[in-house]
Amino acid sequence: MNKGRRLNIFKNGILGENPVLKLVLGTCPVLATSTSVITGISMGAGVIFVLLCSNVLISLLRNIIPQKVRIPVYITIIATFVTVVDRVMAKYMPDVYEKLGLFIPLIVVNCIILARAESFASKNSVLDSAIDGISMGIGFTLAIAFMAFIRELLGNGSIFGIKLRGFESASMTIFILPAGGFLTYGFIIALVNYITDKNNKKKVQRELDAKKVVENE
Amino acid sequence: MPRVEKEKNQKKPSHLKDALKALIVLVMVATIAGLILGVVNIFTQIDENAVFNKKVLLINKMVYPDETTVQTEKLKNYNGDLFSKEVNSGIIVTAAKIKAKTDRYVFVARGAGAYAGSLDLYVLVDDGMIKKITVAKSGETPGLGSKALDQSYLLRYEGLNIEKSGHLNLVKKKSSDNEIEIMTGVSKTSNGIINAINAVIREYKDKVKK
Repeated sequence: MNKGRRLNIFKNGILGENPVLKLVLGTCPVLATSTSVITGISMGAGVIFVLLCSNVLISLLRNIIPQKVRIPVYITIIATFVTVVDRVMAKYMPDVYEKLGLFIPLIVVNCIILARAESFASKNSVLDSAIDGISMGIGFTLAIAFMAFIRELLGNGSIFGIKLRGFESASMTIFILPAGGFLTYGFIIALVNYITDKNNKKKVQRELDAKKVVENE
Repeated sequence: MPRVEKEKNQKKPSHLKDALKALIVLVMVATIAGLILGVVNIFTQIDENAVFNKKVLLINKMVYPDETTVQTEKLKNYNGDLFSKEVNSGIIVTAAKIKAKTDRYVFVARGAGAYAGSLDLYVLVDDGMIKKITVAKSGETPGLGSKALDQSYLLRYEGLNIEKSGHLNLVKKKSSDNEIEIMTGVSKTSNGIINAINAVIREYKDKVKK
């Protein structure tokens, strides 16, 4: 029972409640850093680390933190981990750090992280919170990587910074610019909604069929 | 009368206790966070000199691909005043001498008056000639102001003899050697570039060559 619940928490972050495509949270970093796959994935890695650490710590301290000052405490904890990510990236990945720039410090006010702290980690056990943090982080990273894949391919004609011959000459710069970001984001959300709608309809139909069978018997 | 006072006394401590608890938790969290960051800082401190040295070698290699190993010597830390009194001016941030057969220097020049405040350029000067300019740091709008920072635009400055030339000016139509043609749409960014280059010219003439 417990195992199934944890699997559900894990699935929820990636599919059912994907923070970017379903909850439409953290849109600002998604649009800004999905110009190339490498920056998108490094942004995602930073968010996974911060989300995991802050979720675990907030879940550990959930009985100590007074209700009235919980938000300042959450922000302090999140900001600490973000600063760690910021410093480590500046030291070991200067190229990526230059491109991500302001968006690493801005993880502090990323609503995905604060939302998970407030609505999940402050109410659930440490292990559950850790699983939730990882799955939400992976969901964020997958969404941003998928979007960056499309934008980089169409806008720059390259993948992972490697130029592809056919696409390079036909590249459309608009996909790298903010307008292309919004376009791609809209189309991806539409696609995801279409698929979920279809699945839901199938589910309802199956239930109706099952009911009919029972009635006929 | 005494009863009211008694109630007041009873109520106060609970509020005080809450506030005190909140304060202690906040202070503790902030202290622990500060300690953690202090430790992280020890491990992730960036050696600015090493980064600068690497960049200087890279730029040198762009111009002279054959030279794989060269010695560099940092001239001095020009701790340039960021908030210079002259709004429309440039400063030298750092400079290094490259030990080669010719008289070669690399400057990091910061020019004010660009669209996003200021921008930093690496300028390689060889025998009094600007050989290479690359962008170190800029906040210009991608696709718009950043056009002025493209290599093709920066070529206008390369090959400039700074020993002979004086203060450079931006003009619409070039008529003398001390003038640089402006590019449409990027006048502010060009302003930052020319301020940085003028700082190099001034520094080279006033300090390095004396």
